[in-house]
Amino acid sequence: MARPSATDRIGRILAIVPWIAEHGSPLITDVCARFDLTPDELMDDLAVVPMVGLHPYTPDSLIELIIDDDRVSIEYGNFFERPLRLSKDEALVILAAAKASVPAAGHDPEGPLSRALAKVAGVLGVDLDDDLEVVLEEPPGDEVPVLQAAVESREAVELGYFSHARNEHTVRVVEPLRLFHAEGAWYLDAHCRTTDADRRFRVDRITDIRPTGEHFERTLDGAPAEAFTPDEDLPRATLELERGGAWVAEQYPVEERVDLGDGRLRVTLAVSATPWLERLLLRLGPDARVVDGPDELRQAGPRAARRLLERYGPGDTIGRL
Amino acid sequence: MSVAKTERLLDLLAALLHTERPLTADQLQERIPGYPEDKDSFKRAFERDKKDLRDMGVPLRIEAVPGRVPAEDGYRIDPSEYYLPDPGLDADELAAIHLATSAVRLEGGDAAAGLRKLGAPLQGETTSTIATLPSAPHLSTVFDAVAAHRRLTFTYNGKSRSVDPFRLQHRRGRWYLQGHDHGAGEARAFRLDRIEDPLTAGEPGSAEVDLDPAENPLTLDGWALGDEEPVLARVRIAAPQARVAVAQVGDDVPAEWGDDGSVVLTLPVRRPEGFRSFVLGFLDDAEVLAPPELRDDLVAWLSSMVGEEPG
Repeated sequence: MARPSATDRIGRILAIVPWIAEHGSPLITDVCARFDLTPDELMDDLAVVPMVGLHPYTPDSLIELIIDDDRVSIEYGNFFERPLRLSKDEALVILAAAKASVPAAGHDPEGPLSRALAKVAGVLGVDLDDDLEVVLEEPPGDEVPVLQAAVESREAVELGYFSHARNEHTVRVVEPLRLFHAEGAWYLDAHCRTTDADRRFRVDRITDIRPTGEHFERTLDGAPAEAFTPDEDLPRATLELERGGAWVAEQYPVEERVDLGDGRLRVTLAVSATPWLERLLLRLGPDARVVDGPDELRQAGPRAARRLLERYGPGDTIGRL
Repeated sequence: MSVAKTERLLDLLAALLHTERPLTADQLQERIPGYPEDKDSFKRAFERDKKDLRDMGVPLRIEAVPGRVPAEDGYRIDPSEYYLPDPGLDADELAAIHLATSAVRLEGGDAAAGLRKLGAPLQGETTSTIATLPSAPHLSTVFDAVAAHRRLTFTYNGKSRSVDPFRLQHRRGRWYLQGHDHGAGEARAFRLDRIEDPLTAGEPGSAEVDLDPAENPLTLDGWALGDEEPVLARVRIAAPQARVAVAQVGDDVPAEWGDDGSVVLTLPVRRPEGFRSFVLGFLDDAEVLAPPELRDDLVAWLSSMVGEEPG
């Protein structure tokens, strides 16, 4: 893509010319709306068209493009009868988006999206039932549609929320600003009235939603960060990982990474809250050791292990939970 | 780009689309206005033009020109390979596709070029993006391989693989390829972000696909992976995380709800390590109830960690 504009303009021309030919003499405003161009941009693109044609380039072997007041037509020499086929990338962008949207459109096989998908897949030679599956996992309840409605109607809601990082359940009133899916989970960006701060909630950790009937004015300022960006003030823990724990460096944003040889690593991580580190260390077991950090973090693994063991201790009774 | 170059590329396309016989480079130099007369300059300009056309996805054919002695290659475009068949989309169908591409984006992808070719309106009802699908190396190549039944070869987990693909799937924020792995002699799933270069795709039809995707579901839960006979494990999740757990394991896992909001899940465990990670992820809110050997396994694991407490 050294010269993106080079193929961009030709790409547009090769789609616009057959469309004009197919639609007789469409209004210029219709062409502009269809292809998202201003009239000046459209005229710029079309300017070259009457000079294009076949050898020997006599007037009767060139494309005859007529612009008549507010309409445009191709009278003769339509050498580009249909648009160019979609590239692999172009096909995937559209099919993946459409497949992912089918549940939101209600799974209606007679609905416009399902019909469109079947037709497009047909001309692209894709078996849509088998070849491609795009799942945007949803919580089992109706949280997603309920929150989407609250975002759209700007209604504050009371949320019960389980904070994974802090391992605690809270109840708070929030103003829902944006609902989105990323990296396999749904998130709600909202202004939390309880803490007077913008917060991001994972929808599958919302335990209940109660409408408040109160409406709010606030809008989202700019695009919030998509990914977890560690806070400067968070404590850090440095871990030594055996080969079996090396996946940590792939799955989490590690800040420092030293190769210790034999597949062993030393990494430094921002710790949003102690339970988050406990969970990680319990999963890693003998594959990780905290070698540096505040005392609380250095002892997090063994302390959590001892706490959980109490439940399973000698003479334990099943089901003490 | 200059108007002259736009015009030259369009003339070149029209000439190649509307010829029965392949055209030689010499013929194209003569016929297409705007090419330099000097042989070397022409050659460079023509190479750049061919690359531009190919980058746009134009199926440029190189064929021997019939009847030439000595043999000489020429160029042409087969209209049936170039022209997009008309899918015959109605207005509401075009609008639905446009809306879907505004709601769900593919990281690094742009739907406009494809929509334009389909005749979908680029203006009209849109929505704010509600989901962004991640990109992955070789994503569209793998997709094309599934659709066109091309055999794929690549390296994965340090082993070189030869795979007949049957499905590309996005789950839990990642892309997975499922296919018949010839080395393993069975269906396997591969994370696209872990496929190592180089990846090569065979000719269309080079893959033999006789697997029913419905009978080869993609398994992502650590406890369900593996070839062992499953052991039924019962685990109780306390109220604060009960719903999260149910969402995570899905509808196929039996869930018995208690009056206190807790839930007991019965999981077919094939891999104890994966089960252990699943349970420990709930910290104090999960307890393994049965069978005893999985309870003992967890106790042994936790005990080994207690011994390591520093100072």
